[in-house]
Amino acid sequence: MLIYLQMLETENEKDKFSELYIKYKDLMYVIAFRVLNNQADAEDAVHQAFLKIIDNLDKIGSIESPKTKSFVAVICERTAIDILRKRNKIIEISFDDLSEKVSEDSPLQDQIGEMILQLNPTYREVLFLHYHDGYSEKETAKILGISYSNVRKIIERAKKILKEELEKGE
Amino acid sequence: MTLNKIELTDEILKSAAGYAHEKWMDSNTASSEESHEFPLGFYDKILRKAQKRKQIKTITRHIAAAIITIIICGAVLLASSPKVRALKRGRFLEIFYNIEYRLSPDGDSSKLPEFELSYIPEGFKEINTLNERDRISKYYLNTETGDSFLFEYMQRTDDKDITFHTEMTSAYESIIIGDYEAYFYLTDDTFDKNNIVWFDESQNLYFTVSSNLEKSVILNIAEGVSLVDS
Repeated sequence: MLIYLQMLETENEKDKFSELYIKYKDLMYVIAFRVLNNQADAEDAVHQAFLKIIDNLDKIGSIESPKTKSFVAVICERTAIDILRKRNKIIEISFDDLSEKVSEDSPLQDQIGEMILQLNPTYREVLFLHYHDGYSEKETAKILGISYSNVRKIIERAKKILKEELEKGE
Repeated sequence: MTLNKIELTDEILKSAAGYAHEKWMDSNTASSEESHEFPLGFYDKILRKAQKRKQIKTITRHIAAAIITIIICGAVLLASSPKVRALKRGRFLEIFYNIEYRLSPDGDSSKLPEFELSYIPEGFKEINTLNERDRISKYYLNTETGDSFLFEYMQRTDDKDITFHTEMTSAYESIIIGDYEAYFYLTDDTFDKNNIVWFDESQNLYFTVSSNLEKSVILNIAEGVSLVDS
């Protein structure tokens, strides 16, 4: 009975993974290519990111949900950055095309949002997972493969940077 | 509005992260509208790799379980085998200055067996006996020479430690007394005494003979310890 249940679970996971693959492989490729700027490397990143997703299948609910989409995207970007880092390349991911000059009359949240897009990718990913997707600090640490204390430090430092930027722009 | 006085609360950060996230995802999604042609067998390769990783994890878990099992079995062996425990004590003797013995609490304290000495060196007489619930001490003296020895045995059923101070011990050796492995501690202090100790694990009994007599005499005394038939 136990074996049967285990097999069933594996089949469910396989179906779940298959759906994830079909739904998000192209998005993941774009994210990886943006970081690595090379087709083979981007495919390698997608491959590795899917392996990480398999390890975290239990954290994924609905395939279609924005949270799942965000989760997959963040894991893929993190994997691509890790590949780049292993090759000792300087990480320069420009979001100039995304970032707009926000007028001082814009809501404070939008101003801070633009600043978040300019943050170091790791900082941005932590903020996305924790503040946008609602993962706890511990879950965020596990998803990104960094320590819990690092996540806490990153959040504190990100807050400090954002506050300093706000003060500069005043 | 003075921004530097604004606290970056979780609510503000949630909202800001939402704004940034939406822009980031919109940009990625827009660019991913064109399907990328992945190499043939890409999907299967991921599944195969995942399966392999799962197998490695399983094997690692099995190895870890085997190591834990070995450790537990070793601990059980140490706890249950008198011989291994004796070996363990032997190692401790080489490491520590004071030896602490701990007897397991599964003996029967109500019936402390009676032991006697079948060999008593010439000229010695038992002059004092201390008879307690879990300990019997017999003190022997040669009134002509002033030499003495103490034969003592005790039973521990309350898991108390017996500390054997060896600061003045210059050497020790492991020897066999009857069916038991014993330890002979030779002192180099004229005011201290040589000691021989051994254990009867089955009854939680600890025996010792202490004296400034020669080693061979002490060994003869120890070998002569015998159970009195009731």
